[in-house]
Amino acid sequence: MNLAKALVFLTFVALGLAAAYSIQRNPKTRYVVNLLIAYTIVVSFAVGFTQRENWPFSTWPFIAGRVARPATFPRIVAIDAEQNEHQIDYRAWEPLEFDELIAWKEQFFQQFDAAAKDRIAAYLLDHVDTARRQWSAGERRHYFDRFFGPLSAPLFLGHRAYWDAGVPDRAFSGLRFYNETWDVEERARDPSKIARRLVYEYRKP
Amino acid sequence: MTTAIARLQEIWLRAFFSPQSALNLAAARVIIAFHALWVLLSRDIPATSALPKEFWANIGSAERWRYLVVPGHPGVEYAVQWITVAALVCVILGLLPRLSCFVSGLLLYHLAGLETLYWTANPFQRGFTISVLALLTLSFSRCGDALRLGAPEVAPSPQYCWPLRLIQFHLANAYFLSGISKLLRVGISWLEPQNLREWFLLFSQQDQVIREGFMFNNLAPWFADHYILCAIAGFFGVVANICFIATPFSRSARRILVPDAAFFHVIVLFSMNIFWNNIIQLLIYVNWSWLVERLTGRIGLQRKLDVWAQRNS
Repeated sequence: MNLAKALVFLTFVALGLAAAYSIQRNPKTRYVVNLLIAYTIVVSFAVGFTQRENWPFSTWPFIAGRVARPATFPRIVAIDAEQNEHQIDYRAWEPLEFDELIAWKEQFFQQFDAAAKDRIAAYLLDHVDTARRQWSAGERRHYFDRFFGPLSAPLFLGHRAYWDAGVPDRAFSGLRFYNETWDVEERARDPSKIARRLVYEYRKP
Repeated sequence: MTTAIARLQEIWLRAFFSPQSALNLAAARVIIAFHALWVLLSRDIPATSALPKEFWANIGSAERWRYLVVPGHPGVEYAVQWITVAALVCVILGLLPRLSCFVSGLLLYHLAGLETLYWTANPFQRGFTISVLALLTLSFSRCGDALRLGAPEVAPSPQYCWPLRLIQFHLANAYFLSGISKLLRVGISWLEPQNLREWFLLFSQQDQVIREGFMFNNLAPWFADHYILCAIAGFFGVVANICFIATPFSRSARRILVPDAAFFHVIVLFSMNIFWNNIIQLLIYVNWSWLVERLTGRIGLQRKLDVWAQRNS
């Protein structure tokens, strides 16, 4: 299926090259250009109306759903040697993008055996603790804003800059993965109406 | 029947082969390349290649082949990124514009895939979906006949029309299919004010997707509390988006729906904290040729007035 999707894209490229070549030979010819336009329109609409993704021909499902009632969202927190929990600033994951990482975790993490889970968690813990150490020393590494500074392209979703108020000063010694569940209407009436469930914990040996 | 076919042909010719200024197509070239460069250098996509092998464990070879991604070679990926950057700079400056568009379009296809492939082969909404299609479309056309050093002055031609319309179509499709997706996946009930209220509530309650700043995080609960605003948001989300498909082909649609879309993105940013970086690409709908003529005309008029004032002083 993935190779068929690649073929759809390659056909677009091939038709485009053929159109460019035909115009080069005879600027008044329109047959191949018409074919390219028709192909682009047909593929774009076919993808959209069948809702079958064929990137870069996309279905663009921008919040095309209903909010789950109740809704569940993951959260990763770090713990120190005294078991205090610390929020992890989304920039501490850089150069990984927070949303991509969380999406990967939600999709695949539970499929791994315990040893693999611990290897992954050890990698992630080392990653965020290194970032914490660098920030504490005033040597934060800039990955996403190294060229354009504050004018860098923001991520699609906003994220809270937890460490702007202060970087945790204790070394991280573990990670906890939670699932947080709430009903939007209930929580609108009472912000404390949120259930938290620990789904995985890793402690550095 | 023959009349209907003739009419369709006429509409097709008018839509894609009307005389168009070379400047408008060249402006699209610069806008698309500038946007792609901005997004590319605001990420660190090659670093993804260095993720531990567990991250790639569930990705099949077909998916890797589709984007030519071979994990574990960040050095190669950084080289690819810098070649892409160089190509995009060439696109902006008009140096070998068609070749540069083609190279950057293909390499961005690969880099966009690399960005998300470890969990999805569908990297939409990251910023390169329209860029890839647009850069390739530009490479098939005479996109370098203006806005480059030594560009000759050329008359408006249908050669500049169809590529510009196709690029505008790619962008319009994002809005159109966004509206269609809501109807196909949820149905007409997506427009219900209660659905929009729940979305606004969710984005205001989920603290992990909150942006820092006084202007954020107040609008969503306020919208959620106003039935009529939720109803308007639902209308925008489907009807205005679907109508956007008219923008490549109708000047009136462009005049109304393009500013409307920009306004929509600002509201979405402040209410849901969602930033759609393609908002910059809306500039491809501007008639730059008309604008330049207008500005230079005014400047010319001002010069004439200055000369007249000097003579009479």
